Amino acid sequence: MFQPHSLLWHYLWVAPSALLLVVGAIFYRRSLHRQFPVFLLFAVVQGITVLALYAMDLMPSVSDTFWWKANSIHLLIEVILKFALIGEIFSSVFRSYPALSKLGTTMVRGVGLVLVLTAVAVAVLAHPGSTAGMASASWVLNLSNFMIECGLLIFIFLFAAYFRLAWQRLAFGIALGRGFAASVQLATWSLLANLDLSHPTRQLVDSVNMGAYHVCILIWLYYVLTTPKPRPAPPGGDDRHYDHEWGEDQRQHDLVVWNRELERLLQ
Amino acid sequence: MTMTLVTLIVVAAVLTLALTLGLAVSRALRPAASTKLEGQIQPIDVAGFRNLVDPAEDEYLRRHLSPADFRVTQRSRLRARAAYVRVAGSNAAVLIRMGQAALASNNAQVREAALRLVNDALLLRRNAAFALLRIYAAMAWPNYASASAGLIDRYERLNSSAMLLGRLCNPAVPLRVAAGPE
Repeated sequence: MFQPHSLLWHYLWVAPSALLLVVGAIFYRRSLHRQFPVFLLFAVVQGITVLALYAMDLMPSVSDTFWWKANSIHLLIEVILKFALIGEIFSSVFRSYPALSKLGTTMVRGVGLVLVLTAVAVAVLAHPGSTAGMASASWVLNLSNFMIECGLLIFIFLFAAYFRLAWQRLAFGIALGRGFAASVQLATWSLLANLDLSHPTRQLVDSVNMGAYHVCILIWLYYVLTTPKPRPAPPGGDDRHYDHEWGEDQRQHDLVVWNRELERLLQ
Repeated sequence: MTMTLVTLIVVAAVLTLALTLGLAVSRALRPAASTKLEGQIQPIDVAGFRNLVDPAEDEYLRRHLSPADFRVTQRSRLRARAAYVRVAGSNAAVLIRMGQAALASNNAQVREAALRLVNDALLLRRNAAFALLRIYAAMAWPNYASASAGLIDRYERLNSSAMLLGRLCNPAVPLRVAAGPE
């Protein structure tokens, strides 16, 4: 079932990439790329390159060495786009709060540096077993990549949670999808890059990897479909929406409660 | 060595997954904005806090107590100081949420006041975290003077921002800024 060229294998390779291109198209049609341009770029480039790798894998004329070289180039592009995407998520969470932007930027740089050093150390210590050559190098590179990605996402999640920052719906969806896939793939690449797994186990781990990526794309599809189109703010000082959000009863008592609490605070 | 490394990475991955899913669930279960957040604000005795962070008080105690007694007293004062700072930090968190709810307003003035409140509250929360770190460090070395007095000014500024937002939300209700009879 999990072996190469089985129906599941074809599905897990093709479907997420095809879906990612669909997500990109919907994203563009809904003009969401104005808020998240890097996400659109990621969706298009990732979708096309993975499908190209799949086609090359099926072509008998493409040698193994050539395929692994192409895969390495794809991996490099993916890493660059992924970190640009994390930067976009970070900026969408923090850009509204100038009070935190300096601290957030300083901390994310510090955390990023620590993560890069840790990933390098883990890559040096990695032991890909009997598999040699470009495949094992690719696994180790993937392990380092997902280690840094998970660390940065955890930092953003915890930092935003500590300061009770409100996430934009779409930014949260993108981060959630990446957080899910990256955490599962961190574990699977760790197994692949360090243990001498049997062939069937390796195929199973590989399928889990592809399945996690598929779930990530489905999460993105859900959030892209359920996020409304961005609308320009109406001119003038219409306060109806605000009244509706806070409720009429609360409106009557808000200031009284505020004042009572604040007077007590300042006693 | 390899097994230890793999175990550590897998544990880290599981924790990341749990955190990610936990955040998704907590976001889905989060109560609506109408929940009465102001009920979560805990009053702070600012005068008492001022007294606790007054360097002159520290100096007075240092002069009149033996070094051993001073360390004991100072640790108690630091614990009390930490309790105040924790409450100030959690109040800031509540005000951040209230300000963020008001950011949805279509009224530019309300939005501006809400943004100011949110930024002031974020600064207070950040300073509270740093102040707590300094207080815990000072607990280990009670002779080291821990400065958290700046937090009071920040708290009072936050109070003004909250008042302004409240006034903009409901101008019909008379605003009492100072304590005392109407």
